Amino acid sequence: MKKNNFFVLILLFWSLAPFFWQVYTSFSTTESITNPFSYVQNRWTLDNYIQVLTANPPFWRYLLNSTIVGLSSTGLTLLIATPAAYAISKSSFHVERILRLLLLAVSLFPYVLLFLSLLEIARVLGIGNNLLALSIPYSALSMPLAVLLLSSAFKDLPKDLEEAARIEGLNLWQRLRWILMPLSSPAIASTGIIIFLFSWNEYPIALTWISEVELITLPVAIARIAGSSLYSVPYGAYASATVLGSIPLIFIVLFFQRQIISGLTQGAIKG
Amino acid sequence: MTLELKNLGRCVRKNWIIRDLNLKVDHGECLAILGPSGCGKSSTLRLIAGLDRPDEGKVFINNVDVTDISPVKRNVGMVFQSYALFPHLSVCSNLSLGLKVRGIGIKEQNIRVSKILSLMQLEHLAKRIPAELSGGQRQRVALARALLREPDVYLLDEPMSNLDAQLREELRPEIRRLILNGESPVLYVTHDQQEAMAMANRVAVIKNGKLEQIATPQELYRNPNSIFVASFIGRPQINILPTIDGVATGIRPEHIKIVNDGIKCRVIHKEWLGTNQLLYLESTLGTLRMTCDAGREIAEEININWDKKDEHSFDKSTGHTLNIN
Repeated sequence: MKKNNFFVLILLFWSLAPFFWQVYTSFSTTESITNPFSYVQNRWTLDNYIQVLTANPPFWRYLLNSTIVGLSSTGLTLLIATPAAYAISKSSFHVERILRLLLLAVSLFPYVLLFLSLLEIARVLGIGNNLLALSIPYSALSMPLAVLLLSSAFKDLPKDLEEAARIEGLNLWQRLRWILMPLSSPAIASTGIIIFLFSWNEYPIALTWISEVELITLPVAIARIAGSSLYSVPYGAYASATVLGSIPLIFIVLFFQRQIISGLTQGAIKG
Repeated sequence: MTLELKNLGRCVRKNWIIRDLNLKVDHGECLAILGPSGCGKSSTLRLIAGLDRPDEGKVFINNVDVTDISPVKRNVGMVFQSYALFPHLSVCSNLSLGLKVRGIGIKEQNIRVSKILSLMQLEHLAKRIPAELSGGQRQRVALARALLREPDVYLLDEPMSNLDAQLREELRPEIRRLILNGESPVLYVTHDQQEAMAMANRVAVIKNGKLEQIATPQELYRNPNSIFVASFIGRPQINILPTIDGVATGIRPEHIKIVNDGIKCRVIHKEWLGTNQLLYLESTLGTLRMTCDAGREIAEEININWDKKDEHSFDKSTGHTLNIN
């Protein structure tokens, strides 16, 4: 038991230390950042946050943009992936195998290679500088993985339950709505989080599709802060922007984690 | 209300799971489908419910061909072996879901659900989810769900095989009271011959997807038409004596009597069954089973015999009963 705790501590340190360093940096003055181990008169400051939040446009604007893109991509993906996953989980053995292999191959494809052609598409269709349009490539890119995850979740549900629902008179949509989706809500929630995280962190497409400052998403905005001066690297502002950008994510994951755990205990019966 | 199967057959990967099945269940009748596991009895229920499509034949409910009608629209009530209660819904919602999707108003739903809950003595469990119920309670909820919609046919798929023996005996009269006394025909699938005999008006014995015999429990016991049926019905199992001239003779353990002068046997084992005892005998005819009064003192060497009229004769090569008379 004690040995386990020790390893847990090492693991926590390993994964959380960089984040805490970032938090520490965000509250430090430029002087203390450059001299971390020697005495500095004014070590702590809120200036970095004030600078980021009072810039034009203010930082919350980027948070809002990213939230809009994240929610719309997640919603769009789940809306299409759920029925698709159900269809795959009901296909015959061979068809299912082939579809799964194809989806896996597509989801392993390095999407960065696509961004130039995607940009071309956006130009032709005239959908650049539009936050909701950004969720189209995002959901297209997360679709294969989402369908894979959801279809195995549907497959894991006991067959009897859906058959009982058919006999009870539930048609396909009613079964999805009342039986299958509630029972696979843990899988749907975790798939949703993965999609949201992807769209929250995505950089190359966001950078190329959006040029209006009012509309850029978080990663692009943070990169702009980092490159805002030719002569110095604004570590403090950069760190505070990163911290601000992570807070919503932490809350979302914490919130859904509770859903996931309660979902697991609810589904824990068979027969 | 009636249920009729005509030439029903289902083929999976060139294997006939069930074939040439013809049977009719009358208004208010309970027919048990009895057979060893894997003989196709659950597949038959699935065909009737519409969960699988037959590759041959037709299903009629109330003389209407429902073969091509989806299970959503066939009004059948089914109880699954696993109960198949919706784990995320309370007992109450488990019951009302079927009414809700049929567009029945909330008021009417509540009236019908609370009526069935009190009939099944489940009122105090209405707010619980299935995980919080015992096996017997889940079984009662599953029955209640089937009863609630007043279906045209009841399909019970080994409804009690997950319960312990005592609970089974408690539930039997309840199933009889609630379902078997109604108007709808009942198909009761089981591998337990005792349960089939106790519950059903008629029993269909199935072997390897083929109907072996269909008759009343008494008829199956008295006049089995094959070795298979004779061995499947009646406990302790029938004795099959060595074949003479291609004829195998069967004699039930309860028909063997201890006499002064007869076949000499040595008693190798005794099992006490309460009202009677089961003796395992070694004789020139092989190992035999016989039952006799529990109070009777049994010597180590006994003589046995039986009435000729209690014998069953089977053609050894086909397994069918021979009509000697």
